Amino acid sequence: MSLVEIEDVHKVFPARQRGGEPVHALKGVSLHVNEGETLAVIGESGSGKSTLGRVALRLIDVDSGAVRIDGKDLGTMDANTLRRQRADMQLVFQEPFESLNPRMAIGAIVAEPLQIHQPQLGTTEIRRQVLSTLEHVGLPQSFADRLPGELSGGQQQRVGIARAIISRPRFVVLDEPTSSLDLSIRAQILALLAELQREYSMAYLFVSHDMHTVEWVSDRIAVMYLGEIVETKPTRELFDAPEHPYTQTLLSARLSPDPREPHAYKAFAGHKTVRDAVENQEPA
Amino acid sequence: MHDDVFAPRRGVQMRRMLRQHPGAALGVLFILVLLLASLFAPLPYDPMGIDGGATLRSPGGEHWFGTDGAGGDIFSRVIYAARVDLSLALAGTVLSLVVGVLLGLAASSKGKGSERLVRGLDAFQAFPLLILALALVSLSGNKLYMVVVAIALINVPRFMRLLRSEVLSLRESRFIEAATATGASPRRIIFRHLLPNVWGIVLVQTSLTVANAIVVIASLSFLGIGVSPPTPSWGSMIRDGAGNMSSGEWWIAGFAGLAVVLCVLAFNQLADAIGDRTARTYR
Repeated sequence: MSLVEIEDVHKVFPARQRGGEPVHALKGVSLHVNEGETLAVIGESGSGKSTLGRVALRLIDVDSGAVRIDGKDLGTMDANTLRRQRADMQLVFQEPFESLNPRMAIGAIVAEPLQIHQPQLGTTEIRRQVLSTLEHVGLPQSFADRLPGELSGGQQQRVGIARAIISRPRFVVLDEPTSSLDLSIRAQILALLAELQREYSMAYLFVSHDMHTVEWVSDRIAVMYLGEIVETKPTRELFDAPEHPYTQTLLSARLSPDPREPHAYKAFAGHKTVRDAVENQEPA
Repeated sequence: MHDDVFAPRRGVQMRRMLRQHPGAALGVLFILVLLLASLFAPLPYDPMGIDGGATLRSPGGEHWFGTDGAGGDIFSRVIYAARVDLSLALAGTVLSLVVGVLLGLAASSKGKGSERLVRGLDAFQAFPLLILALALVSLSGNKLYMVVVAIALINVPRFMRLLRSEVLSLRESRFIEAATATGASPRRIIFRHLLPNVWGIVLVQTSLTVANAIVVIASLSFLGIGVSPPTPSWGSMIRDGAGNMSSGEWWIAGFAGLAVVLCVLAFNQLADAIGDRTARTYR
């Protein structure tokens, strides 16, 4: 049995304005995440990948289908049980600053999961664990008294990661955790995530739109397109033999470090949009 | 909920705020001195007294701010007026704050009730509120507590709207979602995440409300309602002195007007400083 199982999940968001079209974000999505592995979900914006990340944590209720962690159905849990379950499943956000309460000290932000889930630890022990977790994610202990606004983007994301791991979850959803960061910081954060995963054997659901990142971090990749998962494969296999036209388009859109490389963007030749390219593939 | 294991150093922030906004610091000082003087300081003359032998004296050694048409000492009257004017303004503000925040929270919950509350508010705000306040106070027979109610009438809708829009946008914010994802209870989310992020802007509005209330009270007593003679108030002093302006006795209305301007300025400066501090935290 896998740690996380998502089974035939549908989700429709009502139209934002009167007369608008409802958005069919997830159309029967199924996937599973094994203990300790990284499953990347890749797709363009609007493909439903962020919705999927939130559905996996039941931050969004599904219309139909089931989400199970450890065999327990999140959909049928009552509010209290679900809150307790959250110690075991956490979320790291795309926007590090927006995800931190601007009026709370860094230490208080990182302490919150412990205060909620292990209040019996007491202030001294919580303090100790917060400080050691800060150090663990590469931040000086002195940051504990600072406010989020005083930190850089990369440091803020480290705080977000510290908050996510301090309750020792077995499952963490990473919602484009590096897409708002500079390239050099990006690599550091990815390395940190990889190191923490090895140490605590957490399973990651890594939501991303960036093939380069995903190639580097994931064990398996699920490709999402217009609310559906069109292909799921071990990373190497997917890169060597993409089957679905959309996957092929994605892979060919990767930039080569060598600007003279001829086949970059090949799949887009003569197409105005990705959708156009996917649906009207010319035989290669 | 004071189980914070870590907290930013607030004292430092407060000192920095006042250093960066000398205007606000000066304003707060001015209001405090004025209020304390009106309550406790020995005034040179009886603020309600008249002196037929010393009418319309210009400012000088004997009467610092001069005297009015009945021989009342302007300095004593301007200081003493702060007692009534500022207390009414503060009382009106507190009432606006409490009622406005509670209604605002109610209006920011999901559901039909809050929608209806907002519609009602729209209809209510279509009235010219100052006229409504005027009618209310004079119909009640010039009761001072009605002045407080009138201030609340004008300012409660502003607090309500402010709180509703803040809470609604905060609800969608990432850090509230983060708290939910961490497993925080609704109670914890409201008290630790929602309200602390609303207080800054509510404080700004509170300071602006005091300034507004001072003007409303002055307007009412300028029109001869609210605070009634012989109790001095800035508005009625301005009215008394208005006729003398053309004949050169500027000090009767002048010093009362100056008191209003300085008080309003002080609270606006304070609002500015608080707003700036709130913005800096968000950056």
